[in-house]
Amino acid sequence: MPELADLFGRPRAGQSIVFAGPSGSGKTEVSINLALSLIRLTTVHVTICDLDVVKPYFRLRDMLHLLTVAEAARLNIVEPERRLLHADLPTFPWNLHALLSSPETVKVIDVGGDAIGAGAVAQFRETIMASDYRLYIVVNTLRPGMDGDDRLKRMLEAIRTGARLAVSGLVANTNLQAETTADEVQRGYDAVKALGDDEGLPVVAVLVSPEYADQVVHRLSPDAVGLLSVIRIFNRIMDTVGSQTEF
Amino acid sequence: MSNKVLMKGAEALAEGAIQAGCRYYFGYPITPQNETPEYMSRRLPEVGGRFVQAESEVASINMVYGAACAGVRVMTSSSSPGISLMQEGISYISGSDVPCVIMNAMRGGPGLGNIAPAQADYFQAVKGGGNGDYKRIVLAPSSIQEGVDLFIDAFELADKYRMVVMVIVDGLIGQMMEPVEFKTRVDVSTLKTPEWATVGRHGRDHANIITSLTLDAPGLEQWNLKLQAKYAQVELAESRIEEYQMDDADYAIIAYGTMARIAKTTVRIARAQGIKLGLLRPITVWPFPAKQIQAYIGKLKGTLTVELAYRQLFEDVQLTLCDKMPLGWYGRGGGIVPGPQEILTAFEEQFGKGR
Repeated sequence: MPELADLFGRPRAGQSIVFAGPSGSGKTEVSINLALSLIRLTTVHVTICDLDVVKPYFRLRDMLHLLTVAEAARLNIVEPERRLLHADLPTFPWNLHALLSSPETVKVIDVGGDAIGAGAVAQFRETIMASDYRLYIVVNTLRPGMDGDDRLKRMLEAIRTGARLAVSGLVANTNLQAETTADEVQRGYDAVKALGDDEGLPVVAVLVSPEYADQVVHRLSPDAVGLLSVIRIFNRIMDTVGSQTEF
Repeated sequence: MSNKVLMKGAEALAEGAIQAGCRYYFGYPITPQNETPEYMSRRLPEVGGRFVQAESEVASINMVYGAACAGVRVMTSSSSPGISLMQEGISYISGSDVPCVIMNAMRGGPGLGNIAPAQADYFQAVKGGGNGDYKRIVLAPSSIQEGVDLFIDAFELADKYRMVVMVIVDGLIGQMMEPVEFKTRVDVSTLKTPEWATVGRHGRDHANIITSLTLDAPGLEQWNLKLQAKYAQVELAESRIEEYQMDDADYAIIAYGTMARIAKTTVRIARAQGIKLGLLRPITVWPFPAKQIQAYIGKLKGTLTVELAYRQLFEDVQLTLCDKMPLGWYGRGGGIVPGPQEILTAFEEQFGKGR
């Protein structure tokens, strides 16, 4: 099975990889998984940027305690300053412009959901554009309103307009958490592929979680299997949430 | 192939309300439930409803009051400080005998507190908040699916008893994502405008008047007695509880909402260690399922009440069980959510190894 970093072409120092998409489509999960895959496979310096100004819980900043010490040591993490970490304020770190233009690190950028979240990043547009960027749209077709070609097309257009950046590709992340079936993953991939074909955009990766990967892998079309990556899930904290979880 | 979609709690509960026939929503944004008004603002126009972002929570609840008087299915939602601002309106709606549904995605308090999950508005929801002798039915789902299903009941109960029904969740249920299925859809064209609605005389010889003002004392006492009789009826008929692993239980955790869900994991861990622990989960916190819990008097060696608050749910457990068994308590505040092991440790500290 391909490594996530390879599916994204092993980004080099200086590049920015931006994940945008509808709310709840899995941008934070794919951001952190790509960053971890990169530090596992390469020696490149990786910076992961939490630019989510939309959702109040389950942000990148809420998951970092789940990283191993070794992982945390290798990642440069950009998040709002500590005293504002749990404020529902749309703030970005003061030094973000400098970080985004650094040639020494790969920037993996997790932006907030929908056109609103993407719009918040448009203010860094020129810096990002100067940095050899790729913008990927993450799609879970089992989120409400994400079924049907027209709706997907409208979503893509809204996010592209919000971010004011060109889109490089699509990530198929169709899932119902642990209840996901192979049929659903395949149909999600097919829908995202159809959108990509219409728009001239490649599907870069198909994501599955370890909970159902085994049941799914052998039942997908060969082109989907070639893009398949099993990602580590950080957000599924419900029944085991503990006081080490600082909200 | 299931009909499930992956939804965030605050969105799913909004869709649940729409499926239950809610066509009017008035509200004011506050974290962690902003996805509810946002979703309503997009969806209600699609189904022929109306969404208004009011200028404040005080205005929202009075808009709800107005729509409720017209006999339509109406709701608002907010989070703790916003619900505090609505208390006057909730009392007026209750005193006027009209139905509505209110959702509270509780956050850390008191005051502005923070945006983290909490259950510290229990007293406010269950015991009062506004002035006068009134009650609301209070439903406390512990998963997104249950919340969606309970919204159907919330509107039915509100209409049946002409009462305010509150759905209380903590911020976690509002923000987490789970697969959800919408099993029931109320056809709004089958909902009849009630006789009492203030929507014109329609040939009657009198105008309907809705008010919470009764100037003469005997008249207001009679009105109160009527309300009390209704509340007594609700207490008899509508209390609900989930009993988990209780058949052979020596001890029970009593918890609702998210805490109950985490406590289920505690029960599984405890059972694996040979401790016969069960869970009593009130689904309605008013009416409190006292009878169902009292049925365990003589069977249990003790209960541990667990909540994201300081001895609020515990007070109702004390009123229910008095000195009939040892009553333990464990809670965290300010947005800290204890994990299953932490609850088990609290249990062992208070009840030993439970044997």
